[in-house]
Amino acid sequence: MENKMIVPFGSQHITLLEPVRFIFETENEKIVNVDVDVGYVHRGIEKACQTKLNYKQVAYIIPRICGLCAMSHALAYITAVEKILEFDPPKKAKYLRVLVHELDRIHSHLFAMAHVAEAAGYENLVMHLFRDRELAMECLEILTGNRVQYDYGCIGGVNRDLTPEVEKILRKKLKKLEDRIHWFKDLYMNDYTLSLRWKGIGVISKEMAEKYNAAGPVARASGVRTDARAEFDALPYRDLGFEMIVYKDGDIYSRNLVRLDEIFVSLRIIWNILDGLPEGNYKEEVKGLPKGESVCRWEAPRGELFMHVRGDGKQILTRVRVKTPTFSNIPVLRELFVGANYADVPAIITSFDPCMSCTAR
Amino acid sequence: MSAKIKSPWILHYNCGSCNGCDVEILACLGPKYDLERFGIINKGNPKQADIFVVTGPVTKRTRARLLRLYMQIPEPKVVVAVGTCACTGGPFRNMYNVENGVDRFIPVDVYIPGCTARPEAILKGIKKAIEIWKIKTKESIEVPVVIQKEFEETLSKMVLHGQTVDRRKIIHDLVNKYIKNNLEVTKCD
Amino acid sequence: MYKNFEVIESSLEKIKEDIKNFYDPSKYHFITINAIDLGNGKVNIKWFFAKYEVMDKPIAFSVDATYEDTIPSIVDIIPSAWLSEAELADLFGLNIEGAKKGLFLEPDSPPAPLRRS
Ligand code: SF4
Repeated sequence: MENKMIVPFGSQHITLLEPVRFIFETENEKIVNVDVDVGYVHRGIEKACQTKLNYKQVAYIIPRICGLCAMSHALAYITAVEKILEFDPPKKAKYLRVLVHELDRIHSHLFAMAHVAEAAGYENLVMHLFRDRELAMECLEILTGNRVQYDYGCIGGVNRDLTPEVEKILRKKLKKLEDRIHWFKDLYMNDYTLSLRWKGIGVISKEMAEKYNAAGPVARASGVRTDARAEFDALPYRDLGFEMIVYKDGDIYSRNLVRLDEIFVSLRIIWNILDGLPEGNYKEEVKGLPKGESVCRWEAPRGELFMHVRGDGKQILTRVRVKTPTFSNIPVLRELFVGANYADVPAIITSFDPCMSCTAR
Repeated sequence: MSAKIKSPWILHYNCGSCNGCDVEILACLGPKYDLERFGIINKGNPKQADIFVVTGPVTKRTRARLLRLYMQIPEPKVVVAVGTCACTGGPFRNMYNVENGVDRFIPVDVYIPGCTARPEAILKGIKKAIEIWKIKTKESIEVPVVIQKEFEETLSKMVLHGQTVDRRKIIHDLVNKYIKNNLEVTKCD
Repeated sequence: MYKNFEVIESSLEKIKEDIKNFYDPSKYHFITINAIDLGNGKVNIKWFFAKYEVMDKPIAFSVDATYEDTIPSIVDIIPSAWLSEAELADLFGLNIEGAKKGLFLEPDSPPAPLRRS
């Protein structure tokens, strides 16, 4: 038809943090067809993990897949290798891993919410979110030594202990952060700008989420009860007061609320860890070479991260496969666009919080 | 001129990084580090930008976009490479789909090392970039590294024949030719 | 060998049938497809599934094949599988029905980089 128009979106665009390219075929304002190109950031990390680096070094290149959820990648890989080596990390190390992983989730969620707010044109809220995200970043920095790529986990435990001084600072900062998150919750529930822009836009029904295997906050906002923290036995989440957040509506607004509520859950878990950190070593020597195959499912901030590792008794692994959360969410994203308004595209994309560095590796 | 100096706008392009440095750049624009106090706004449009902030080790698919964006920014322009992987390839050096650093394609003015580059370092780097940018003028046209040799050849040939030289046009033509011949662009761009 | 997931052996002819009988969208979550190069032109392919909400081991269907074989596509059973299939077709050079190449690789990237030659 003649009145179809092709609108390219990306690979460089102001609402996009990273290169991804959508080619929308539109009819007036409605999108009728989408093509997506996700391969811009393909670097070849899997190949390097299988040829150049030995299995202990891989734990430091895997987090470079994605900076925002670096901890999830590293820990998922480490867990998978420890499963092959049949090594159980010390209890304290497990708790510290949860601690850093949840702090990671907090800053990632705040970042995602800021991004969505930016797409809605709500600059003020963006700045508020960024300011309070710095509290989580400061916690991470003081605990691990770096702000983003902190390489905290290692095969056998974690790389640093939590000292009482650090704990004191963490408590202070987290208290402040918790107050702020309550304030945000209040704002998100009551500010009508947000609900006007986000309610009923980009709706994914439960059936659709299941059919296209959505993952993470996107799936949970549509009422699918899935969370790898409850489905895979890697970290002691059961003892730490974990609770799955599920909303029913499946629009942009509920995706935001899922993220916001998960921050509360994360904070609760962190408080529990700080109050009841077990005694013992934080790192133990691991011996042996990996021989066998194992998988690890991990709940990264954006959804389920899947790691499949195979070693054949050599220093260098035979296969390392990373399936990242956004990789699962691309099919549902593509389906969702058909029939949507072009004007909603930035808001929908950012509400998925896509991470292309993860997808393409 | 003085109005210009107070508002250097930046264009940010990620050509294959891990996002770590990108979030730090955004954190810099946030309230704690507040890059905006220098008059900086993050703009998505290359035609309005002055400072080109690049992260990532240039993957094979982003090469052509990187060159195109660079060509679209009006002079004077400054390029800042943020993060080890933008400077040299860093952790991704010599992986099969990676071209090891931004300076293999375009001239880089400021290198900010670190994996992740710290926000303080980014602040300092951008401050430095603004200083460099103040000195540059509209006539300071730089040649992308990939076409340096061809450019010099063409230039000497033209001078020999006594033709008038329009450097900007030569560079544009050469870059377009280079992209067409060497970086086969798979889809429309 | 398989430390923490269950493996159901299958074959190239049967795999589609098996997955069709097994997969229930409201109960299982399709994770991904993965391939492992076994050397000598052989490849092992696994389809991974996990149950919603319960703590259980992931389940994998495993098939041994060679690089010449045509791998059946499961897109008509699980529509979201196209991305995983395109990735395998690209990085391993597998012949998967209907999977288009060029998702990640450029014309001058090495072809099928994850194969071990
Ligand atoms: S320098 Fe390090 S943190 Fe920064 S983008 Fe590159 S890999 Fe990521």
